[in-house]
Amino acid sequence: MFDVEDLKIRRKTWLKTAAIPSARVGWTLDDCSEALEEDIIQVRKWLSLVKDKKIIRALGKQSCGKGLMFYGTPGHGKTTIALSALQEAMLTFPIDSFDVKEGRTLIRPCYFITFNDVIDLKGSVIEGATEDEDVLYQGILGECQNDAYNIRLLVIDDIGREHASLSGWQKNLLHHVLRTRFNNGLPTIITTNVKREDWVGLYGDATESFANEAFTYMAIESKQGDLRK
Amino acid sequence: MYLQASGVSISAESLSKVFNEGREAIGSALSELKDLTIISSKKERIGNRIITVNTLVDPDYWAPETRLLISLYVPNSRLSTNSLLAVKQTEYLGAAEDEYKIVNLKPGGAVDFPSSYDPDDLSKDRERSRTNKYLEKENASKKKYEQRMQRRSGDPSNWSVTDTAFEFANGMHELWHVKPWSVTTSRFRIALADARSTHGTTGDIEKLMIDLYFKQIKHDTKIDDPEIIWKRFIMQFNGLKIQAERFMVTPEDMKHEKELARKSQEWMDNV
Repeated sequence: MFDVEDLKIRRKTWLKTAAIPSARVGWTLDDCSEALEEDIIQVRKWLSLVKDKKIIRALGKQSCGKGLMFYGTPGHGKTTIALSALQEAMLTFPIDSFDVKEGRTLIRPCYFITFNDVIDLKGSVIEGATEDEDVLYQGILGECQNDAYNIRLLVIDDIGREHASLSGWQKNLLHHVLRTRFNNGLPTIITTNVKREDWVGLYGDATESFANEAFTYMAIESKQGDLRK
Repeated sequence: MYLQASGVSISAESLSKVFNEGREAIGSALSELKDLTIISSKKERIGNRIITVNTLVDPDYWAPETRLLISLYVPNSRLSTNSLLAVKQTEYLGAAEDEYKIVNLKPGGAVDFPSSYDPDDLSKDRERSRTNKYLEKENASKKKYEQRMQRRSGDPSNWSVTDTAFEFANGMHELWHVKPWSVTTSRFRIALADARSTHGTTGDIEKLMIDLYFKQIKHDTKIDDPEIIWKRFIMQFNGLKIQAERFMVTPEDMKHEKELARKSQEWMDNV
């Protein structure tokens, strides 16, 4: 674990704007002791590809924008691994891994949000959001005019836990957010309790097929079962 | 006394038809009389309805301080000055705490109340004792709830309907601060048992359904009525069950998913 206060001002600011839940602030993949080693190795492999500029805005490469999809039952550490990976990136990546143009700043390279909150944010945008909400939403899509706010690494947590009466526009929203980010060469880590084969029934053929293309699937299990018990 | 003579039943509704005062004013007056032990009330079931029946208490059974007050303020009541003295000497002084013993009887029947026996203080005392009783009841309920939660099996698949009801109540308590014990005494438990037998669910899936349900509605600030919260849960029971079943993963399922994941990760070795 690391202490955020010990970091230099730039990385400290990144961490403070990433909306990391307080119980997981300062975690890296080394702290995920209950996770299976093979899972951590795979996540590290993906992170090293991001670091080597083979994923974020790696134009023309097949790996461009490719994210991770963590699947598993509740309490097995999907969110914890995702948050740890996000913080490890903010802690260790050289700034050019995030594709920042020379002389420019980067305000929010990484961000954590649940899918329910994405739905709420979109709702606010439709109803007349504040400037901050608007910038955040555009940053999530990677389409903010000020590139400093475009989120390079995003975690969308708890897909499949949204409202039972999920309406059409909310289903389309998931597809829209994931595809827009992918098309902009920005990787996303998503966590879900929905098996890949169930995505067709829940989000439709197009989203399921796109998820196969844009995400590396990982079935996460902890060493000791449900860690929340 | 009028009430007894007139034969009118003592309820705010019936009295409001006889007197000029409204139902609320009469209701609050009745509640004051109840506090003074002049009337007593009990709940009775008539058919499907539960009604509150108020009855006049015989003056002999009134609280000593009530008898004292009535004698002072209602000169023509059954409690004459003589009986007032009797009250003070035999019951009031005998039974009351030390602080009441300093009631001074002066020649001519005039009574000086020490500051602690001011009618205002009396009502404060009554309020305090009511609060204490309420707190005692609350603590007893809380203890009962904690003991119940300790007795509950660690494995949700063995949970009874009551166990699940407590889990639900706990969720309500966390989000809306509705007390867990007040939920299990509601009709929720019956409705849950009914839903369980209809849909064939067990504690483990119900726990997941509860978890899903609260996650979905926690942002809905418009809901603040516990009745609506649990009724909505019962209404959505089938949908939540389908959703929760998706999350129930068997070891075989996991093996299959791991295999899919392995294939999906192959590209990383070739970049």
